[in-house]
This record gives sequence, C-alpha cells and structure tokens, in this order.
Amino acid sequence: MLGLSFVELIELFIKVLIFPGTLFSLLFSIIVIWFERKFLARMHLRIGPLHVGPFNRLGLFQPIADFLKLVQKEIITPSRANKFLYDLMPMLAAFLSALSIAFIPYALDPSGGYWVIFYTPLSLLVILVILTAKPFIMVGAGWAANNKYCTIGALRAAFQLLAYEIPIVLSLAGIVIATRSFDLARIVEAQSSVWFIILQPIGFIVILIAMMAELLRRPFDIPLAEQEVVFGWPTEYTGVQFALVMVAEYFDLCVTASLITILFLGGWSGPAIPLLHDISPMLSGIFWFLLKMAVITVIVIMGRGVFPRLRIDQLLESGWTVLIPLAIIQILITLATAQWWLPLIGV
Amino acid sequence: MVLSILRPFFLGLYHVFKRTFTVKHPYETLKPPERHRGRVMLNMDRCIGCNSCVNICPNKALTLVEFNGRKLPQYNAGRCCFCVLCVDICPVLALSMTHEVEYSVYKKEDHIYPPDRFSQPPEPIKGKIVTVKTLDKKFGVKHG
Repeated sequence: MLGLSFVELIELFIKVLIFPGTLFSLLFSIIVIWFERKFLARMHLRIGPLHVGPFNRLGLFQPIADFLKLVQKEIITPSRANKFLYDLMPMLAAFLSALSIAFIPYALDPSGGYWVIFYTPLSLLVILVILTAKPFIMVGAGWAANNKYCTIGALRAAFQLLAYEIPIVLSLAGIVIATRSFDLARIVEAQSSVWFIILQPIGFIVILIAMMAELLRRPFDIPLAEQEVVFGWPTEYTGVQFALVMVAEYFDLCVTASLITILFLGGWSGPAIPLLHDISPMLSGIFWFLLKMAVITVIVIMGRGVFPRLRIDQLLESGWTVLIPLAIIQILITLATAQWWLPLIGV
Repeated sequence: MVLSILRPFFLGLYHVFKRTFTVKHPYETLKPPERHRGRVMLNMDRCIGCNSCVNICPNKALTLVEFNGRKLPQYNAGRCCFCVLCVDICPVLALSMTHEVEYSVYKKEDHIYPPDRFSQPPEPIKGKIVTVKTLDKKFGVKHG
C-alpha cells in the first residue's frame, strides 16, 4: 500500500492522527481558545470561564462545552443565499487551514529525516500558495450569504489580505535569499548557530504584524468589526458551520505560530532537556518548538487585549507605505551584509 | 511611537497579575449594600388592600387579586423597575424592599409572585458572602 513498509505506515498514521496532525491541531485550538478567554479576562481584571471542568473553577472544558452546543444547533441557510457555495466555504476554510500543517516540520526524526506529514523541498512555497487562497474563501462565503454585512466584511477582508500578503512574501524573501532554499527543514538547520530574528529583526517585526493582520486579530479585525458589520463574512453561519469557521481561524493561528517559529526562532533547535532527551532527542526538539510557538501565540493574543481597532485607511496606509518599504529595506540589508554572516548559517 | 506600542503590552501583562475586580459569583457573592433595592416584599397581616401601590406603579408590576377572601397585591418581578414608589406610598408600611440578588428564572411565569409567595422573604444567598477588604493601587481589590 502506497509503497510503504508497515513501520512507515504506522509512523504516517501517528503523524496524521496525533502529532502534528488532527489531535494536536484540535488540542491546540481548544487550549488556545480557553487561554485566550482566561488571559483576556485577567487583562480586563475579570475572572473569565469559571464553571466547566476540573481543577478548582478554572473553566478548562469551556471550549468543549461551547463546541458541543454549536454542534447541537440547527443549521440555518438564508433563503436567498447561494446554497452550494454557502455550505462549501466553511468546510473549505477548515480544510485549507488544516492542509498547511501537513507541510510543517516539527522536529528531527530519530531515524534521520524530519517529523513532517508530507516532506517536500518546496514547503514554504506550498504554504504561501495555501495562504493566498484565503481571500477567495472569505469573498466566496460573503458573496454567497447574500447579506450586506457579509458582503462588506468580505470586501474589507479582501482589501486587507491583499495589502498584507505582499509584506509577508517580501519578508520571507530575505530568508529565502540567505538560505537559498524553500525547504522549511533546511531553514531551521541554517539557524543552528544563530537565529534569523537576530540577523533579520526588521523582517521579524514585519512578518509578525502582517501575520496578525492576515489572521484578522484585534488591532486589524476591521473585516469582523462587531460595531460596524456584526461579524463580517461569517455573520450568517450558525451551528456546526460557525464552529468550522472558528476552528479554521485557530488552525491558521497554529500554522502562523509554527511558521514564525521555524523562520525566525530556530524551530526545534535548543539545548537538550535532560529528562526528555533521555527518552528521545525528538521530544526535546518538540518541547522547544511548542515553547516558541506559545510565546508567539501569547503575543498575538495580547494584541486583542491592549490595542484599539485601526480604521481601514490607517490599516491600508500602514500596509502599503510602512510594511512593504520596511520589508524591501530588509532585503537590501540582507543582500548588502550577507557576505559577513553567511558562513554563520552554513550556506 | 515604538514606546506607545510597547507600553500597552507591559500594562496588559501587569494587569494579568493583579487581583480581579469581579468575584466568582455563584460561589462568592458581594454583600449587598444597606440601601440596596432588591425585590419588593409584602407583609400580609398589615395590608388593607387599598390599591394605592397598584395605582402608583409606573410599570403595572402590581395588580390586585383575590386571595383567601381578601384583596391583596400580586407582584411581577419581570416588570418591576425598583423605583420604590409602592413602598413610599403604602399607608400601613406593608411593603418593603429585600436584598434579593438572583432573579434569573427559566420561565417568565416564574417572575409572577402571588400574594402568598410575595410575602415570603427571599432565599438566603448561596455561597460565600464577601465584601471589599482593601483597595490597593498596586495589586488591585482584595475581597474577603
């Protein structure tokens, strides 16, 4: 079957079903939703989720209870909606967001390869292509719902994602120029002695801001602004379709955090953790990867607690006139100074 | 400009470690203040059925009903605006405000208090009753 041996097949199943596949990404979304609610509540001097779950009123199972509630609810389709597109888009959103996870290497395999579901030397390019498909889903869903709020939200999302995809690609260009590779695993190996956040700090800031805009998080949540367009393009979705939209959003957060970790924070590289390293060197790598991911996730979530929403003209202006020039400056600096630090990354 | 972006981050992080203003409500409840206006309570022995409270009520929360051969007010907590006009107008001091804090019910019929239920005092508050102990600028409010 598939030309794989039995051991390889078992390994593939573990990768797809447990880590970094289904179970990990779902657990990540559940934990992040809980953490986001609790953390934001503490920032506002509130308590947050309280009742559901064990451990002395922490509300740990609140996201699971919310999900069960959403699954039980009736699916309502607006009478004038384009039913096929309307039903297709949430599924496509969740599918595309989950698809990116397949190309991200999470650790070194004990047998010599990388712990990744599907290895390809063009993984960075594939993830960028999947990222580019996101505005299509939003515009499609917003148009199919045949609702003013959905349409306005979808058009705003299209503006925003177009303005912020270019800085992302440009700031990635600096890394691709330095490592001469689209392979995420190769990029991590290049950072074994020094991380790219030190060599390319401007690129890191640009990609962090642009990714927050790409995820439609708080300072950039103009397409979802409650006060103006109810909930933007997913306004009409109910029940399990809304759950899919939410899951897609948190899968995106997972992919983004992993991507920034790999590109700028050295991925799984880090000093060996004594206990984990004795069991398997891979576990130590996974620990470092998840720790770096958590830091990025907390920074992205904090934006929601501390910043007010930008106006759409401020957003587009900062995208086109600040971030893109900064990214280009980063490329120029990379080209000018590469001869001094290229030996460091072993190219 | 960079400082104006970074400062809120530190302020937010600082707030995370402060004590919360709110309490864990069903398990802890803030003690209602002395002049807190809870739902109205009737003293059935004093009431003379004069209809004054029904007339003055701006929301028609009170209606006069037949009860054990007497005319007594019936109360609808869902309509009440806690204006205390009925308590003020009562000539025989049969009405008073209580310290009830939990009003949520599953059916809107449960908001209607017939005279016998109207004259019952509210159920005591479940869980711990807490008050504000200290107001600290550095660590926030302390309940206890």
